[in-house]
Amino acid sequence: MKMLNQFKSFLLILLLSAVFGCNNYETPEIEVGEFSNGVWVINEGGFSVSGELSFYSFDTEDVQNNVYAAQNGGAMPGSFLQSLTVFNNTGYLAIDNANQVQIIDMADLRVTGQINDLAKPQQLLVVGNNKAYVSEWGEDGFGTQIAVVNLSTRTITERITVGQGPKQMILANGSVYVLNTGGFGSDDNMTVINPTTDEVENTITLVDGPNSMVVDAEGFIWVACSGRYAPDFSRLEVSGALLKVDPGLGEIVERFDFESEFSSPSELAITANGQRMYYLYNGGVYDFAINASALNDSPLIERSFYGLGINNRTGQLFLSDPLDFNSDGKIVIYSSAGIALDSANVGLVPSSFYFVN
Amino acid sequence: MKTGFCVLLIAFLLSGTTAYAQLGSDTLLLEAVEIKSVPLEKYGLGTKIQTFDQEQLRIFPSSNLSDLLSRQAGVYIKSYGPGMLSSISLRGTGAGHTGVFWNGININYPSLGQSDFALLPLVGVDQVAIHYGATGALYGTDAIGGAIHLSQKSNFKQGSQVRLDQMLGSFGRMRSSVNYRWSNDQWSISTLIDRLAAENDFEYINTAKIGRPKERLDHGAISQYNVQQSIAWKPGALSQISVNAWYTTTDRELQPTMLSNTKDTQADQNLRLMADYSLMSDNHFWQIKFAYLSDQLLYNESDDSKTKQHIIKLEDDWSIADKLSIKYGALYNYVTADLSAYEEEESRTDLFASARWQPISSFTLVGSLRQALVDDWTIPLTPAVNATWSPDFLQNKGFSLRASWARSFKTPTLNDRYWRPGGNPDLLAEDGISYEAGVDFSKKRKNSSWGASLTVFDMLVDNWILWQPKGSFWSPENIQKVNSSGVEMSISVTQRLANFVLDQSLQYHLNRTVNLSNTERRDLPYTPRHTGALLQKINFNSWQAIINHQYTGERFITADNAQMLPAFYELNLGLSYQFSWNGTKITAQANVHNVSNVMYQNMNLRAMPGRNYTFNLTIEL
Repeated sequence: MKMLNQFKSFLLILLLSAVFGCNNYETPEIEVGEFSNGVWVINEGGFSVSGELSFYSFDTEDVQNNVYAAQNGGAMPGSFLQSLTVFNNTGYLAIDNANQVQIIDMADLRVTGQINDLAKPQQLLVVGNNKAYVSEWGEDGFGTQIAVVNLSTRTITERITVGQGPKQMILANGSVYVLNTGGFGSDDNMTVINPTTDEVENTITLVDGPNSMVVDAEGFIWVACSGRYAPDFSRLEVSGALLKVDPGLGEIVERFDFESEFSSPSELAITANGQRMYYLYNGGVYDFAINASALNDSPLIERSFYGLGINNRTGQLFLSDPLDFNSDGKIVIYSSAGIALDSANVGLVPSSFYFVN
Repeated sequence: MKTGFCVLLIAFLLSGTTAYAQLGSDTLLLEAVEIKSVPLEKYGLGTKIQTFDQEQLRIFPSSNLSDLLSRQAGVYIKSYGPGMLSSISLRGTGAGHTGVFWNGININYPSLGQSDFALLPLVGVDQVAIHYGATGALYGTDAIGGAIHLSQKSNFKQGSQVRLDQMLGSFGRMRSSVNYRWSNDQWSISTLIDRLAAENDFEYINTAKIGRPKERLDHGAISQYNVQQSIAWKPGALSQISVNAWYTTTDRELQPTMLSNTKDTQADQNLRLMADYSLMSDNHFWQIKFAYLSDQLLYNESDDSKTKQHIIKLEDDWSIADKLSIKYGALYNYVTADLSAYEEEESRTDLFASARWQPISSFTLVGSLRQALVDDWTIPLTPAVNATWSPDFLQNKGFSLRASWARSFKTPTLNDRYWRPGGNPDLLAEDGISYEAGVDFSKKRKNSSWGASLTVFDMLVDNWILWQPKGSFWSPENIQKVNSSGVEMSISVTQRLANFVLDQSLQYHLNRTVNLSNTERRDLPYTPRHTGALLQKINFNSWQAIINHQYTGERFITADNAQMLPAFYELNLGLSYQFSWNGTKITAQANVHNVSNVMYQNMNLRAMPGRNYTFNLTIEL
């Protein structure tokens, strides 16, 4: 009798087991408004946590998180979102760890396609009719190529060899300027490409680790450089620098060196009128007028951030704080004079912004 | 999904009868041991020790250490995929907070400070013991959450034995091993050659992608060779010399996340050599051990990490009087590391002593003390006090009580201290203080035996090391303070009815691990509050049926507890038949894993296989 009970219970277990046959992954449901007046926050994500997009509305001053998942049936974009480029209301999301650029309808954030066969894509730049460049770090992070993409077929047509670890690209005066950051290694220059012929026209030597650039009101290109650590990483043996490059001459016309042995400028951004730049350095946010003769000694904002964006319409500064990189981060909004106005909780490792207004 | 655990419990309660129980199979029973080692519980009494002998290790043949721990001990194993990096979280601690010992020597990589449990096959291992809790005073560095002991035993007077194992399974899984053993009354030799290969090209539903497509994993293949040789010689009745060699080489394609198609690879080579001499006299048990451990990890064929350890350990277990014995000794380890990121060498010395005092038969007290020194810096003195008490009025009912207070530590890993960039040579050792108490119950009846044990613990780990962003790179700091507390329960029952023998063992861990460094007292990522396992075995003549339930509760994946993975439940079944043919013992076993075909993720975005099968054939000559 006892035995019989035991076998009954085994049967019960088997039956109950079937209950667990389906695990429900819930799709977060978010009421998504119009994405017309606000800013997209690109949350990079981490090794085992996908990146995401958040939208901060200027109308409601509220943030909506996990918009990608909400609008795409619970799907996630992937890890290490590097950048969002928008052209004709189509978004191009460069996803490093997925080796893919995803194409998004910016009106509702639904994914409409992919560009595959990329290796650690960093940024997409539309350079002509149906043509775009995608900077890539290569499978090992030491890549030296950018992919030429046909946007109607969404395929790679050819690759152009540039410097190592190409990242940011801009189109100015009919040429494409590519910053060669070094990727997982180091490099120190900028490649100039003719987007019509896809030929490399020039290579401009900068300082080690160029990480971001802007074009000012007078047409000069400003580049923030990370410098280079000594082989034992004890200090920067080449310190960080801010460079003014004359694109016509193809050379540096002004150079500002930074003092710190451990920190260097990054996230260079410029106001809509092209007169004032902002950058992150040594635990603070600094500003710099394009005609200033020296760097500012003290920061405009004393707080460490990871990403920086400027709202062209209002001049407000948007800064991102990833906290411990293992928690959802924050964005903080400051006036152009450095007064904190608002903050919001966003996703994992917020790193860059795209303004819609 | 807490219902998953309820199923375990209901299943268990329904299958039981009246509410009487006893000392579990997990609470070590003293057994006759060869001359090679002092039983763990002699000085480890008062704490929770769970052992798995050869028969238990072979319930699911061809499995590795991570399978055993999750299926049979209900311990949480973080796994990046089948055969991929698997690390343990004992009592909510981190992957490096469990010491892993091979015949008494810590085999955690000194660079990473932890072991990959998927690289430790159980073929050739004769016993696995889990010693829960702060056992640093007994075992040294790493043993904050506990220690795992893998041991090999030499048998004498057995003549020659050959054992052939062949496994075939889903997704191109294959394991073949040959073990030859020969012994007379003085010599014992064992040779094992073992090969594992798996394509791991399983199909899964990619819940992270748009449209939830069905995909096939195309980058998760594994190939492993495992060779073991041991020779033992007993020149006299009271001494033994043993030599053990263990070599594994494992090549793995690293399974990417469900949102990636990266093609990373990892090759691990581990050579472990050991020679020991044991000598028994009236009151002493002397042992000297020499060990050489060489570990190499090659990532993407370019990032190389090589470490070598040269170890001497001398100890004596001295029975001073009937009621008093002490074990004392010293360990010296010279470590060299040659990595792409740094080169380093250092000396580590441990001095340790334990005293066991049994003033009356119902009460035993053990005090232990260890001082570890690493080059010129000192690790805090590590004491422990343990006791067991089973007065007559409790013992008559089958109960005994135990308690323990202990300190534990972890030497910062070589990577923590020397990695370039970011390594922080000024780190302090991680420092744990733990309290635990437990009650064990055992009862034998004519046709049944019951065992149960209940343990409560509370642990504080200070100076917990975390890598933090610091300027342009990351650097480790002693910044986190963690409290872990919980209850561990195990119940085992063996019942006999006619030709049936029913064996059941339930393990349940209730655990909460919180970060005290922030005011919100959040859970640490990947520390499920509930885990459990139920193993049911029915033997009928030459047949054996196995039902194994495994439950892992919800766990957070980020430090702010903003994202959570759902709980999962896995059911595994096995059926085996044993017969003799011309004096050859043959065992055939068929297993179905993940019977209910649950699509789950143990770790975020890491696909796991659905229902799959293995078939085993064992031939013993």
